[in-house]
Amino acid sequence: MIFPGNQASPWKSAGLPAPSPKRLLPDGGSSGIVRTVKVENDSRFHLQVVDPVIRPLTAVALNKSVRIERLDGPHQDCARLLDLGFTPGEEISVTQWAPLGDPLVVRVRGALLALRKREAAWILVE
Amino acid sequence: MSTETEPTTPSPSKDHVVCLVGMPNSGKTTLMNALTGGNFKTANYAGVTVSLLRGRSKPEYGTPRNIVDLPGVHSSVAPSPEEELAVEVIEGRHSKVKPDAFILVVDATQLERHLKFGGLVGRQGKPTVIALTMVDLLDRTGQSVNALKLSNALGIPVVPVDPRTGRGVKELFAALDGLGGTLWMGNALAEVSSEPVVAFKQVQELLRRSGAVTRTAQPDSLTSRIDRFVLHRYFGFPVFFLVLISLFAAIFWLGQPFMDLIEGAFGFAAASVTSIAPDSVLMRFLGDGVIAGVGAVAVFFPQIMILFFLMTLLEDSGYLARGATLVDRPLSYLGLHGRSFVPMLSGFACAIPAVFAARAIPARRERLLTIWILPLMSCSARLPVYALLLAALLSGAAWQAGITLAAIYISSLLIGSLVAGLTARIFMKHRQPSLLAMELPAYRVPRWWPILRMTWARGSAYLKRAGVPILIVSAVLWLISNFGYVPGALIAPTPMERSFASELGQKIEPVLRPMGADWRVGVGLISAFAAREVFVSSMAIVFHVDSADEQTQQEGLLKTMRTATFADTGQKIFTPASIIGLIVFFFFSLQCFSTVAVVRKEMNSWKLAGLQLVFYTGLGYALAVATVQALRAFGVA
Repeated sequence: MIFPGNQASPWKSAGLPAPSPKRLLPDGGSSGIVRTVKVENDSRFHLQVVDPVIRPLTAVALNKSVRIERLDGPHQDCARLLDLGFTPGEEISVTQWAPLGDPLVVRVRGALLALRKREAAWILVE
Repeated sequence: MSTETEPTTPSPSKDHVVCLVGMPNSGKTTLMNALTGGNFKTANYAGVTVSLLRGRSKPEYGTPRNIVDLPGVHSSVAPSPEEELAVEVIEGRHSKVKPDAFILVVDATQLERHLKFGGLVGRQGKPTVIALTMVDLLDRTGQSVNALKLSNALGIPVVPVDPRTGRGVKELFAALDGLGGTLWMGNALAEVSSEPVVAFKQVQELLRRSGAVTRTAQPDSLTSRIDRFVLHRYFGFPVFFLVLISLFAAIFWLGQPFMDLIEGAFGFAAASVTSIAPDSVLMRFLGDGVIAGVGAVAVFFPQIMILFFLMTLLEDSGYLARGATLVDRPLSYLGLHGRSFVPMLSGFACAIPAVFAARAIPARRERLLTIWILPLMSCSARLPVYALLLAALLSGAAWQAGITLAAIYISSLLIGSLVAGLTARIFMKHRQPSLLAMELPAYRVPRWWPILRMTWARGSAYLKRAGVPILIVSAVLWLISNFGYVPGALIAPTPMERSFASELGQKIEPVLRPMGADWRVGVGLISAFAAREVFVSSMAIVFHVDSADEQTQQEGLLKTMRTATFADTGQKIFTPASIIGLIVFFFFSLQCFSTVAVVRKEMNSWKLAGLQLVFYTGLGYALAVATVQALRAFGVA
């Protein structure tokens, strides 16, 4: 784990906006988050993909079981999502995307809930 | 259950209230149906129980009790109005309903979520039993639940029930009797925190310790398999439209034989009543005024029943929530909500249940916008009017009328969307979309008997609500169009031309002329404010259609309409232009005082209701005039 929820990210502490995984990786960030690594006797710039990583639920493959890391969105809405069962540590999976690419269907605690993309993006999973 | 052994109970007092509480889709309303043997809405769509249902338990289950079915609660955080109401009752803050005991309905396939909600009930410290539903679905989800172990761990009696067959209901009441007005033993639910993260941990721990749940296989694959098809990228929308088209096709085709039957029966009744004494004013009043007037509307009852039946079927099977998911994207673009789909669809039957169905929409702004456009949905009360006008317009094949009708229905949806989109963009600029987070219930094979019973309950309620105003309006109309002011006798039977209706109609005729209507059509339009379909029966009355005619009433009315002329110019009234003008008027106009009253009550202010009445009726009149004048300018008579 590079950025557990309650630790400041290196970008944030440097006063920079956190890069979205999408922009860093050609495959849209589905394989993880990237960090630079120093390789001995090599001055070139190396990128390494690290797993497990934290990304929004919208970037998770279908039917892949993931663990909720934290919720990050409007307070009231996130409180309701928590109350509906999206609590940190819980295993959830995206079972379906609706034909228009929004909403998506999420399995949580035995229930199927339809979430809009913008809502699912608040759910950060690892 | 172990509590069955103690039947000694102080008999519950008269106003002892047992509240049915649970999350949406827990089978709560179906259980209500089973407990009371009454007719209640049993639906699979989240939040369909829109108001409190009251009833008394069946005598065969021991001392009759008052049972109140509360709306399902997803979450007490940022609740919708119906969730708010349920939470108020549960917490004992409601002024009218004070629960003495609870039946907590828990979906056996979703114990964690449902028991976490149960914490809210447990904390009240009132006698509680748990009704464990969806036990038959456990196999599909690859689990088994031991009710005895669960009830020992919770300290609350847990009774597996199948409300759809009534199995376990007796035991449920026995368990409730066994409590004797107190808590059973512990009540582990009371310990559950109100803070969700902690609460879920506690419930998980509780379930783990109880050993009540055993996992045997993979989760519900049937529902996922159906969803994969129903929400498929390419098949999803074709399936959705196929469902909607079948819905409307069934309404029009399946209803026909029943409609013919009812039409024949009313025609026969009216004719035989008038023939008893053809010269008696009273008999003519009963035959031509009351029976024929009610008959003209009763004809559409089969269609309404079929619509209610199919809607209930869709709700019960679980498809309706998928439909709402499919259209959430376009609807939220218009400023509406995925859940607006159900009120809008109900609006095609009747705006009144649709306004109630809008209570399931959590955000006030989206609820307001949904209710705002509901009058535009082509309700079934417009159907008789369109049927009559289209028959008059297209005297040819029925398929032409069918296609035009379909076009009218689709346009009503499109124009409703347009109005919603414009309203949202002009008047609700600073909008924050609300949360969707909508539960998709597991698919279930619908049970015919509860669906039929509920269809009958909804249909007969509709008939009662619509029947009385129609009866009154028919009677009053016949009277004012057959009686008039006669010098000397004051009020006496007069021919139509000198009746009160004629006098009233002639006063408003200048307003009606631009849309190509004369005073008789005006009387029809005014009477339609009681209910749109009254237009048909009042037309039959003001145009003096003789029900003793051998032909059926509609044919008689059509014949009369084709020959009707303006009294002064002698020109035909019902020309293509004026008929199209009337269709346009009915398309937009909010001609339904019941809808206005319901919206006022729902929003607790005249603002929205009054605005709707003025705006839509004004728009209807303006567009009707514009249409008629434009058609005439282009040479259509």
